[in-house]
Amino acid sequence: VNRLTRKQLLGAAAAGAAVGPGLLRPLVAQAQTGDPNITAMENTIRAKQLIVVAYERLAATASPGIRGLLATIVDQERQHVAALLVPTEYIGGLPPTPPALQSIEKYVPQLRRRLTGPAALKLAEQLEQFTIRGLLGAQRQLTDAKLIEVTGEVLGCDAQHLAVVRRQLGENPIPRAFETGQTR
Amino acid sequence: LGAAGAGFVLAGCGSAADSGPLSDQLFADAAMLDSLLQQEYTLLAAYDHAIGRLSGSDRALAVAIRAQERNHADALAAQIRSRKVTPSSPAATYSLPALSGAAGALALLDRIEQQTIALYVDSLAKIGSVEVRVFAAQMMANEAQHASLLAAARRLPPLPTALVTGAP
Repeated sequence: VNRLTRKQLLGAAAAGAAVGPGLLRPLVAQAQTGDPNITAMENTIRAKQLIVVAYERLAATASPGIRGLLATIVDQERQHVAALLVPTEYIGGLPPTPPALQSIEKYVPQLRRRLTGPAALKLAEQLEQFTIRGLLGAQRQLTDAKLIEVTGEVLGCDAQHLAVVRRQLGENPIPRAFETGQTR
Repeated sequence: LGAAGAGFVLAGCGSAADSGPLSDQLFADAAMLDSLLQQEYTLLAAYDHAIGRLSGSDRALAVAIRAQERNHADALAAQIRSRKVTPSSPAATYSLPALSGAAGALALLDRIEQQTIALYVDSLAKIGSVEVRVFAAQMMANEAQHASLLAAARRLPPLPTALVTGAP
């Protein structure tokens, strides 16, 4: 990946993402095509595929109290991948290969062990912040109206995930009037 | 819109604040931002209308959301002014239904939040400035959170759909 292009690609999504799932960025920014729409969508799908695998792992080992919430989220994350794939393939993008859990665990070692409810939710919060930053970054890159719209609709859902997870953690679910996916 | 600028009055809203020319894109973005501002004014009026019917945690939620809608309105107005256009003022009155109780108040707020989300989603692709688009996307994401919390307050699923489109 060209260094400058990758830097531009991650642009706004990069700030404040130095810990936890932010380290997943090297697994996301693999695509580079001549079309910024294809590049942005392939990288967005790759990020979503990572999120799906991470959530599947979390949901499989979660305590009963949060299993239902995580199951709902992982189902919606799978729907996001499908919803993003259709227009991406239509414009000539290729479906990225879903990552293996082991490749994600290298960057998010918390997934290697069974997490308590609060720890699992805290990781879910970080995953949602990671994906929101990525979707806002995609909004910067995309030029196709349909792609801007569908990534916006996905962003709305991920923002809702974040609010619900925060509330479950006992945090303020809407700490800011502008949801940036940043931790502060 | 080639001559958009001097003394130009945006449909349904304010006017150019000076006599300098506005580029087509700046003008279009200012008009889009102003339509979002007018929707935020509607939201503020709805919250003012509904908060008196609410109590306890529902009231606290509505008050917190209203404060964020105020932030959105202020930020939108500032963005419009930065394009040398005068933003719209709130309407003198808003046509809002009589509320019989807390359930009706929450339902009204949810309905208008959904309308707001739909307007934001529709506006994203029409905004020419990338910075303004991201700004609008951040507010849209916050509106989606409001809708989720209002749904929970109504004992409805807080994550009802994978794609948040707002009301038709």
